[in-house]
Amino acid sequence: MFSTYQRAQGYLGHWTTVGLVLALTISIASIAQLYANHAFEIVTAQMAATASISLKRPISAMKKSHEHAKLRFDLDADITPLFNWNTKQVFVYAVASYPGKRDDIENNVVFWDKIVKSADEAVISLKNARGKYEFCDLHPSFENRSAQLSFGWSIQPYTGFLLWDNVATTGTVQLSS
Amino acid sequence: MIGDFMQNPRYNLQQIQTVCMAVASAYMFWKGLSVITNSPSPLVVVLSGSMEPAMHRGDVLLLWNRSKLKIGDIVVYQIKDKAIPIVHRVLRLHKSATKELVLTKGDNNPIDDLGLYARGQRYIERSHIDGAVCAILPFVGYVTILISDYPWMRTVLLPG
Repeated sequence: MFSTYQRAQGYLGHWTTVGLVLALTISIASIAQLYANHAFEIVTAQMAATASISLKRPISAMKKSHEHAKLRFDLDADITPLFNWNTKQVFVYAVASYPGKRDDIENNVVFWDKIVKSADEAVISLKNARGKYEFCDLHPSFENRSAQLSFGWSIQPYTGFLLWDNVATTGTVQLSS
Repeated sequence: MIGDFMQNPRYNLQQIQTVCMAVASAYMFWKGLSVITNSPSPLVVVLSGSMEPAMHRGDVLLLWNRSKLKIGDIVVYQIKDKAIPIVHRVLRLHKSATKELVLTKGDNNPIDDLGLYARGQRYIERSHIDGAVCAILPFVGYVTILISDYPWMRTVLLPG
């Protein structure tokens, strides 16, 4: 009655189910553990920054010269509680958020990021560090707006769901030259 | 051939039905997932190493396309006239009530993706994005990589 094909199919189906259930269990157990340890509430960050703005000639698809902002910043954060047996890496990033011309516009730019692979390097303390990325707006000028600084983290697990958060800080930076 | 079939038509028809059922349920699963996640291709296999070590070649990613984008999201996007979708992280996000413009970068790449975009394109728009990665399942997608890297595997893994 049963052909080899049907047997193989049954086998494959069974192990797919087993694998999915296992992955889901791993993920839920890991998140529950992080939650129980209050890992998501512990992460706080202190930030401060200064910007240097320069007008640069248009690159690629731009038509006009744009103001580019380069930041120097301080950052103190401890992400040790985000590491457990299912954490492959934590990606951390420093974000500047500033308003646009209209009220509904919101701009978020990453000016620094880092891949943190183990709890040994989870204490981040930077003083007057250079931003990794300089950025410009869609409009040619920042028009002296001020940007809010925040610190983001995102857990990439070995298996299961990604977790993330954006930790607000009191730091601001004036985008003017 | 037809003679063989007519030897035992009920059994043979049942066999065909089983195969049809398998194909239909796989299709149903895929389309169902597509509706739930609101993504045209809710499962993708990582083909390159540009997001190492967050995701390796062969990892299967589950996408979710129902929430607003945020910075730090890993998104899958398509470039016009390029066949392969790209999995990279959101580096800059400019959003208004009607528009979301995104610049992406691979964690493992030294520079952002501006060079990968179409000529004259400075940002990815919301409509180019298939979804943001919400879960990772390791190794499972390696079969597809084996097939594309070593074409002879196709005959071994997919007989008939």
